[in-house]
Amino acid sequence: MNISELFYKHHLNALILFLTYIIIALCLFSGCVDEKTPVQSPAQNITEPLKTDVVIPVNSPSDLVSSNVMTKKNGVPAGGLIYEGLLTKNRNGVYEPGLAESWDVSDDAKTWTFHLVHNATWHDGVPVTSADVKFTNDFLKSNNLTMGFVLSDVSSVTCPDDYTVVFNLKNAYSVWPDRLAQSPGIGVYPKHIFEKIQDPKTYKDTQFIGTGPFKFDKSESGYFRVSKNDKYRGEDPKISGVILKLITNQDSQILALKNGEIDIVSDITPAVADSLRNEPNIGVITIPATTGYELGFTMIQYPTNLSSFRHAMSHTIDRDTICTVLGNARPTNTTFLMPEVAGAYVNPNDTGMYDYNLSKAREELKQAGFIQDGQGILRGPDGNPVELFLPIGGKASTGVSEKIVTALRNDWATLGIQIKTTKYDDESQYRKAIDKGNLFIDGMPSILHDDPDDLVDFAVTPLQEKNYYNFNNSEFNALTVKVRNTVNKEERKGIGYQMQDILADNVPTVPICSTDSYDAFRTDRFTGWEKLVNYTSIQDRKVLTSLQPVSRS
Amino acid sequence: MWGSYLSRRLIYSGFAFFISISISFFIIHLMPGDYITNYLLSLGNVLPQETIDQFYREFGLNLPLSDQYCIYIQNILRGEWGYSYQYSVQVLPLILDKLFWTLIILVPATGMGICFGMILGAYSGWKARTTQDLACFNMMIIIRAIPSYWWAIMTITIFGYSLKLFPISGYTSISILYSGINIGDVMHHAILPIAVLTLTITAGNYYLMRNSMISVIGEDYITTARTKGLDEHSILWRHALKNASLPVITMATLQCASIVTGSIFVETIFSWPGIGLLTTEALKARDLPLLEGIFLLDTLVVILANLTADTLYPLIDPRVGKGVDE
Repeated sequence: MNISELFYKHHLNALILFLTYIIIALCLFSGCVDEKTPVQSPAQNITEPLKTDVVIPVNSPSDLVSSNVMTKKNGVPAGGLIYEGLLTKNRNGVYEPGLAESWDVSDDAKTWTFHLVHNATWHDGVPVTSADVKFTNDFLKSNNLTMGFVLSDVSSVTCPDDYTVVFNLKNAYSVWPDRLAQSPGIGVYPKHIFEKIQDPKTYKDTQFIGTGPFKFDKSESGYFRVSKNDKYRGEDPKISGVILKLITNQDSQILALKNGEIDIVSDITPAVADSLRNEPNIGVITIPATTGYELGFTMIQYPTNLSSFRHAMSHTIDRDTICTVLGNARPTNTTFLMPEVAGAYVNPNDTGMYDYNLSKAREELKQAGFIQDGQGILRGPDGNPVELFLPIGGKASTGVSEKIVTALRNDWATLGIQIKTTKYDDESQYRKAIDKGNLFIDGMPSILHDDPDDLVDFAVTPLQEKNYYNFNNSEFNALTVKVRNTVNKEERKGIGYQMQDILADNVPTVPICSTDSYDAFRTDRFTGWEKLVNYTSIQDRKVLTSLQPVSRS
Repeated sequence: MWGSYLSRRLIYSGFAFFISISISFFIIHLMPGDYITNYLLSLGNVLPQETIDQFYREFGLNLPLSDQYCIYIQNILRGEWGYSYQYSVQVLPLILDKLFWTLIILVPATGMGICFGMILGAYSGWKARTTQDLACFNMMIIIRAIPSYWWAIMTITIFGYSLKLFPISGYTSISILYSGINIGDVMHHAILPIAVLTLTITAGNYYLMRNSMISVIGEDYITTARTKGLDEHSILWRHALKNASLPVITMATLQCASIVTGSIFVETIFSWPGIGLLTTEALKARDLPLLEGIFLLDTLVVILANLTADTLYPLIDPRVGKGVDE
């Protein structure tokens, strides 16, 4: 029967209606599948090597390893499958050896000496020497390559012998290994290959010769595979390789995990984590205290330029309600944003001063000349209503800021404070908007808040002409220099305490809470994902080398 | 006569091209945010001014916008499309690579969408105000009213996850890493994106064809054909359909030009490595040379498609050509 006959016999109507019913029925019943339906793992329908390949999704094509590690972040040590750096730092604040097996620092914290491992080789068999480390520094800087900024504190690098590297810094820097290890850190690149590159900015690497436990195997659009490096000096990976697979949206990643197409999904929301806990063959791991949230004040705008106003506002944050709304958060009652990771560096005297107390806030506002009129509107000393602008964006923009603002808005309304918000999708625009606003909510990764040196975020230095808060306190600025000059841990702790006292007096920011993050993984493929608790990335080689195929364990 | 007509069309197209790329250049450059700041903030919380200044100098972003525009036009005339910040490769080969993958889903989807839209629209218009027409019309309203990304998510959930008939995402399975590309595997991956695109394109063409058919069946020559005793089948296929198809040709050529806009959502949701996904990523990263290249390509295709439509129209309907020439 052809289509024209259908037209004339009026059957098309029935056909259309039938198809409509089918589509509606499929939509309605799509969620009613048998949860115990066996899933097909990648190993079941592909070739043999895949059975022990770990498949990890990436969100963007640019997250697949770049063809040029010198201008992109893919060559950095944390999460570097192919390239290694001198050292890494785990989530507990402990440095772990990389290409350097040990290191020491001079008393003035200006000269750092790294002792390299003796048995490291590049993937092509050439031994790794101190010349490679010196080359990396010189090459990045002489060619003005983007990642060179990581080594901007270095004035020169010398190599007393093949396995000793000395970094001479421009200024004292007691926690300089942080710069080498994280955010983003820097890898070491092969001199014997990179020195032949004519134009490093347009160079397209096709070999990816590194030193790590995995070596480059193959790259296709949307896929990147590294295979186990059999000659790796360290722990022998139990998996045959790692495949990075492009899946651009997290909903599809979750479905792919359920279907067994991938092995892990990171940074899922608490709601998704809860829904996955009961799924067969799927485990969920909680990574504690990964992000700290704060309410920052812009100290160049009225009325947040007034210390008394900021002090009063510090009592308006109902952390318990916020933590309940967020679901995966714990209140922070210190001046240090991430007390869980800062540990002993947290000043106990500066704990609990930002308590939630609206009566106290109202009283402090009154003393500062901010009085509620008959209509409940808070008016400042100039007689004008208090209206605050809070730009939303940045690292906390994934819905968390909005939730925190919603919780804050009610209390601020009872104090007669109006709040205006604008969302910025672009990070640089958001940063500019902060200067024009009064308040901002920022989410900071824990790795940037585990040491007094991280309090430099509040300082003004020759390298940081202004900070997000527009806070400029000469005593605090001097202490940031002092803490960088001080190697002794106890002395650094004392300086850190003084810095926290100044922050508590001036209130450039009020820490709110810290949140956990969740990763979901397949339990029927590999064991060992629990190690993620100690590392910041699902691509961390320490995690991947510790994985074991389920059949082996 | 034809030579003069074509010359005029070519000159108009040249103007349109120049104005379009100028507008897109300024819109792209006036977008808030910049690549290097976003990139550095993604690495950590540091913004070394020296690195930012170096990047601006390297890509000429420190120059006044008018100077940047002049350089851009000169580069285009020299055939230089620039260098992607994000991917560290030349823009043109990158775009052409992605264009290939977009065309794999867009060409069949556009073809089927136009065919289905014309057939259903013609039938619906021919049977206007009958129950068949209403059923068709309402179904198309539902299809059109629901955004394409919702259809994409539903098809993934139903056919990819629940029924496990098709892959959830990507253009090929992991086996490409071991045994190379497999056409059958690519086609298997392409079915859902093509189906979703076809669905949305069908609905757009359906309305146009239905309206066109309704206006045609009221024409005198249809009444004349009926009074001459021609059967309905002949009137539909020989007279009505041919004349009602004219507006759809314009629509079809413009649809061929929708390389970027046509598949952004579908490619992003299906992780299909085409121009749509490339555009989304370039926008997110503020990769200006890549965005300029994509819009340049889109402008070229739209203008070429319009030129083709302008050239085809007088051939299909001589009255149009006459009108222009006179």
